[in-house]
Amino acid sequence: MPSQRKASLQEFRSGLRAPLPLVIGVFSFGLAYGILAIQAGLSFLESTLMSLTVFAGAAQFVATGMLMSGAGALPILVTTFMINSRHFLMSASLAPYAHGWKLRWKALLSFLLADETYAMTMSRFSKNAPSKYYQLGVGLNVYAVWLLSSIAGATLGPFVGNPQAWGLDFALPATFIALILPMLQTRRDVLVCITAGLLSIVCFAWLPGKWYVTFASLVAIAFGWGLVELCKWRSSR
Amino acid sequence: MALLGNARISKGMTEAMRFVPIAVLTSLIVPSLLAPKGHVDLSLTNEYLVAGIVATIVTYRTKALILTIVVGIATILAMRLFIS
Repeated sequence: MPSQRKASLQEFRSGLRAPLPLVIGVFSFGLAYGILAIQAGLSFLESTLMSLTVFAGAAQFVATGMLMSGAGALPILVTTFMINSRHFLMSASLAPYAHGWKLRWKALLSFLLADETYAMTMSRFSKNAPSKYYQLGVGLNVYAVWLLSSIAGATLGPFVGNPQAWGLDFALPATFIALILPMLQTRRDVLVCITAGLLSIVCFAWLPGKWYVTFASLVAIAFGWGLVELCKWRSSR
Repeated sequence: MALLGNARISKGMTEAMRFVPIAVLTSLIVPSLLAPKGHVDLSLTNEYLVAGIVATIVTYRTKALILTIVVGIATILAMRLFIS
């Protein structure tokens, strides 16, 4: 029905327009990622592929930072999984609106899901009828901006001779701080965090290379695990 | 996914998994904030330390990632401009 197609197109256009206020933010984030990736030793192709296929800013930043620090594959996988675990929740809350959508739509829209996309879509769907075209528009917009900005960053990367001079190297710790804080939900989490922090600075001074990361992390994790077991042991007495 | 589906992983390990990103991310950034130039610098002239504190506050209040990054970098630039 022609009127139905027109409505879908309108929804798509609305979706495309919606994230405009967020574009600057997404762009600078992507730019920073591109520059960081190049500085970390990733090739232009590798960094772009990451943005193309992963499309998860925080995870990409963290993975790159961890690679720079020589972290192994397993900790990177676990951390990335945990950081992106919020996607489970976002998808779950979007699911009721996706009732009846074909699988390939769900797959595409799930891939394109990002924090900004989620925010815009949920806000729209609370007032208007859910539309996969709207979500597609939003998703494509954010994805395109992300991709273009990280390509721009990767292009600039070799020329930004000294990102430290501009304080750009703080983008990484800042991202980590923004990610860690919400993770600290229980007192145990905070204790593990403090332990890791204290140990890492002590080990930084005493251990060669990047061993301080692994050592401090393992001890802090063991400490947290120990606290969990202790609590269980106590409550079973 | 394949790992978590394996019921042989003890429950304790799964619970400990939540500590992995907390521990790893923290130990990755703390030295770069407290010892940016290689030696521990806990004074307030350490612009990374100050920016770290500011970033923590911004995250706590706004939960906005990009704002945290922008304010943090701005703090560093501002400090370098005015303290030297």
